[in-house]
Amino acid sequence: MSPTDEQAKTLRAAVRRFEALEQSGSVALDEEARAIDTAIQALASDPEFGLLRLWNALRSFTHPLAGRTLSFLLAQRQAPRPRFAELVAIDLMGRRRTDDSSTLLNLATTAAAWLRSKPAPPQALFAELPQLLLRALRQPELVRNAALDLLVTIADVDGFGNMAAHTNGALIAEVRADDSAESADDAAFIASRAEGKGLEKTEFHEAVFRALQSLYEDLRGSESAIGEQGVFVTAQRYLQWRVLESRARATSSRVGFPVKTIRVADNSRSPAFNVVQAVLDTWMKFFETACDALELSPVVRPLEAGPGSFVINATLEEVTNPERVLERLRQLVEVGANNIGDVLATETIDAKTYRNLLEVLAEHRATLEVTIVDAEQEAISPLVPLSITFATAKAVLPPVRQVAATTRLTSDQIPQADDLSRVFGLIQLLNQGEAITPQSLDVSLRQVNYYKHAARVLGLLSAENILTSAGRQVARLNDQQRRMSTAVLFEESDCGSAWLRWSNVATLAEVDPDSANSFITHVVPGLSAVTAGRRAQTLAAWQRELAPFHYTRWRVDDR
Amino acid sequence: MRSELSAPWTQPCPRSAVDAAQDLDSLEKQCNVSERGLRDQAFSKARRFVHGAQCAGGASAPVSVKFQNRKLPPNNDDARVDIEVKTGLAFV
Repeated sequence: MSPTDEQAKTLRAAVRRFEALEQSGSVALDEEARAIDTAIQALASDPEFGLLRLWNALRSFTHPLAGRTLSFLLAQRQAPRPRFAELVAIDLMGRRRTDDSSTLLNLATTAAAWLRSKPAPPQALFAELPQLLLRALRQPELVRNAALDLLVTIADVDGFGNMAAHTNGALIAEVRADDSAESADDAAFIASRAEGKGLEKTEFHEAVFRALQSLYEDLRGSESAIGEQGVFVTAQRYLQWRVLESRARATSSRVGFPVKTIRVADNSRSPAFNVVQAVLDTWMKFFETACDALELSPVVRPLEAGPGSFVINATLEEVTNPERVLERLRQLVEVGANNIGDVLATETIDAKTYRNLLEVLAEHRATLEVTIVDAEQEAISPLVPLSITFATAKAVLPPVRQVAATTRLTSDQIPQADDLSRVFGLIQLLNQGEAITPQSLDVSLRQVNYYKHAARVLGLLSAENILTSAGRQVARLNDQQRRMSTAVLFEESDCGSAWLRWSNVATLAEVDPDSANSFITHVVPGLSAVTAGRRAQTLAAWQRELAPFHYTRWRVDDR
Repeated sequence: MRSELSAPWTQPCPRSAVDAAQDLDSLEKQCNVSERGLRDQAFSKARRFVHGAQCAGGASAPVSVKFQNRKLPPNNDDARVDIEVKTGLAFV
């Protein structure tokens, strides 16, 4: 399954072209043309696995050319279908949910051709077709006609027997909304075939996405020779978090894939779920603030959980050197109770999040171990693992508590997402039951997390990212009302109210936006200057945007 | 029967919808009676596509669309008209 040198070279060239576009956001025709050409060459040179490899490399790209090119490759090569083509198509239809005209045209062309050819397309395709069709039918004539053609093909070939009944109704309504004479016959034919037909099915794309990831992971297992190029590898390095009960003496080792856990002491037992949950939750917050201080913004994804003492593997995307973070935290943990107070006072470490983690470990008599595993070399990193036992936690807690008490806010309570309109957009999407993706918000994956975090700071989302009643209310309001409401929410948030107290004023409208940096530096001394600057920019932007809508400035008409 | 007729273009500015319509006319004329009969609806749809692209400000590459008649005999079920834009913008 390993690609030849030539295949690897061609694939890398293609991905580099798309990476350059992704980073620059360029729409230069010659650059786009080169990217398309290299993708075509990559698939031609590696017909067996090229599509899967390209899909994996491009799947998180937000530049429209990435999805458009993948869909073009599908539309162009229909017989024989490239391997994994059906799964890639279903993933593009279900997860990407683009409104890009050319991508929709390519996908509609692909689906129509597959419906007419053998072997018949998989059932899962029918679960995604309604979403594709609905989006296409709401587009201008060019794409709408393609959707109508596809619907006619479905009616001819399948008779809507495989489509979900509840979505057929919505499709018929869209089709009938077209009053052009040219489409009237098609519309009548589609409606006559679709009405009352169909099965009840659930959405399928997540399962397909997982299947593709799994296929890719299988494939990747034999590709270490080209791993360092980043084309084929997203998870060669991951953090291993171990949460152990105090009585468990772990002398385990673990190597890449497959997992090899050696032993846990006889008198051990797995920690209770609430312990695992509490430790991982506080550890994640602590880890994120430590990354923040180092100007790193990793996207952490759990990979798998192991048996015995609770083990979870997670990938760190967008961070090439996790040792740096771990080493820093390990040094912190090794500072004894006598010196930890001084270290926290001078280091850019968020004392409150560290205290929270220690409190949880001490309370549950739990031990946390963090190791970096290098799957590529099938070995645990030579770096000494970070280990915080409950005894360590108990010993250093008193001085850490003292420092934390002087810190008014944690960095987690301060937003870092300047554009309030995007926060509202996110709330609205959630209220409509839509998925929050980089595409739907038109931001990077990292920024999606920032915007969710901002919504949590405002109380619009719960800690589990579920809409609160305030969030649902804001989603129902118009733009002006949203800002009026959000001004109050921000003022009442931990961050907003602390800013008011620090500024010695009574309302958000009176706060000086230019004081944001001084405020943050004062209340969260653990933040680095750059991070403090970024957060201050958000606070200042929110104050400037919301102050005109503050209740002290409402006129009678506004209410 | 000929396996493929095509009208490729390479030019520094976007192919106009008028030129594309002429390309389609020219291709249709090159078809014999039987070939044309298998593709009459497909050519209409292709012209409608070019017109739709023009109304939308052009079709952005890469895009591949294929048009077929509704009812095709089993031994000619692959008769179709394809339009592919590999680079840039077309049908403005």
